[in-house]
Amino acid sequence: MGFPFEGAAWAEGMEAIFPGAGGSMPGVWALLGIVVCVGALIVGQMAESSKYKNHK
Amino acid sequence: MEEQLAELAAQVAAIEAKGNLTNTMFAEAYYYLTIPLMIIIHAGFLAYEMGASRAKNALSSGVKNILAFAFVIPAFYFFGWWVYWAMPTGFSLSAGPNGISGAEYAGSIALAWGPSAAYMGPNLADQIDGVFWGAFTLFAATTASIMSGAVIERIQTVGFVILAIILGGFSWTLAAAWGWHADGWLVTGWGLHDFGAAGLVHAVAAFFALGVLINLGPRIGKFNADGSANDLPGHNMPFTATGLMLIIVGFWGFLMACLVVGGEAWSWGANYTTIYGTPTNLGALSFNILMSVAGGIIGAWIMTRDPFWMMSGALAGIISCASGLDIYYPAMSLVIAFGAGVLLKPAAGVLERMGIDDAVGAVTVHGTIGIYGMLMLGIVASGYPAALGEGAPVTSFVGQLVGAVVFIAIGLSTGFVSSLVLKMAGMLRVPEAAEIAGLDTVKVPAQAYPEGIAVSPPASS
Repeated sequence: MGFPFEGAAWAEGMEAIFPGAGGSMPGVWALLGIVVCVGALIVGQMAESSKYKNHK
Repeated sequence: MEEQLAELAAQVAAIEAKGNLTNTMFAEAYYYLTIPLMIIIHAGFLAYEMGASRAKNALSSGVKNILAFAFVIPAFYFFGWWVYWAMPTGFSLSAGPNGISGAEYAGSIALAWGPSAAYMGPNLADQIDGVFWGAFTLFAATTASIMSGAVIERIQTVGFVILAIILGGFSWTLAAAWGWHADGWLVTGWGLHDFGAAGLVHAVAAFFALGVLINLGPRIGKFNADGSANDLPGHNMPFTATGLMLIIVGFWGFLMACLVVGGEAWSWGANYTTIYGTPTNLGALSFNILMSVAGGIIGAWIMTRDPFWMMSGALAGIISCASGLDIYYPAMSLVIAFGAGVLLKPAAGVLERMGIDDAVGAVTVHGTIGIYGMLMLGIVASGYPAALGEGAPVTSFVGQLVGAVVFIAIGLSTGFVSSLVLKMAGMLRVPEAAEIAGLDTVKVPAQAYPEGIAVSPPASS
């Protein structure tokens, strides 16, 4: 995490510059992102179903 | 003398380096700017759908459309982009003749984890993947918006979002891999040419929507007991017509993004090409898009005199010529698009007589006309090399027909099966009482028109 290069300065020829680049953290963030999306759908479905209960 | 030559060589090298950098930045900016242009498509679909809904459903139709946009983006990031690069040769996931496809290649550039994550985020050494992914993501979101209009006023929100994810993240992406990629088996095997995605975006999305509509059923009140149809007009025709015009504006970005910019390591050559590597330019698009818009409007006007169908005719005109916008002669575009405009309303009538309630005519405009456009290219432009280089397959009516059948099958099957599963899970259609009450009242914590809709009295004579 944090600045992905040694030292505290930008240098020539850098590639990926996001936090965690080159390590396993992007995978962790990707997993969290998928969980957020799926979780939102589950919560959304529960809320929507409850709205329909009064209109059966 | 030698010193002067060395200095001159250094200056030439510096100019070349600057030229290359300018080209790279132009290419990056080119695709970046297609993204906001394509977002205008979504603004258009949003206005179109809300206007085509009755007042009691205006906001819920909008919410549905906004959520499709929001969920298709991560879906395309997490797996849609991988599908596009992994599956051009089919489900074998093997590499194609150009070496830019297959599971291994896709795994190296299109996964959000592992080493390929370097290409799925800010990267100073990569000025194309981000913007290219962005443009493709907007293609994906467009497919969801096409489906969205057809199902308004009776579909559940989350059920719809799941369908949008399947369509935007998988169904159209599979079609694009097969027919919109230089290694796609429909291109290399059948010479398919669908430059502007008449089939692989429009028809796939429309037939996906048809599969959903079969399971979803018509809105209450749409059909009488004897099978005759009632008109359920939307509450705001000006909003709908404006939305259609916005979609047309956005299509300039959509079609612009169908070109591959030249002069880069990933380009097919020094100048613009199609995604297949065949030559064309922005001039071709300019001629043909404008002429197809005109033809579509005129055709629909002749048949209907109705502003809704005239604006739909403009869209149908572009879609009918989309497969060949890169090569058509402008007058040819006008004639093909005129045919689409004429065909539009009768084709919508056929669907209605089959008991299908397509609220905005999406299946007709994008599906019927998309297929018409693909086949027209097979009739008027057969014999063109479908890819770059010697020995490339050529376009033909049979190749276009095979492509059309495959796209229909992908859309219809995935739409039907996924919506059937949702129906069995009770997540497809809203309860009857909710539909009658209006979906805004039932589930939207806001009012579209809190002060009502003011109507001006007619002018006195």
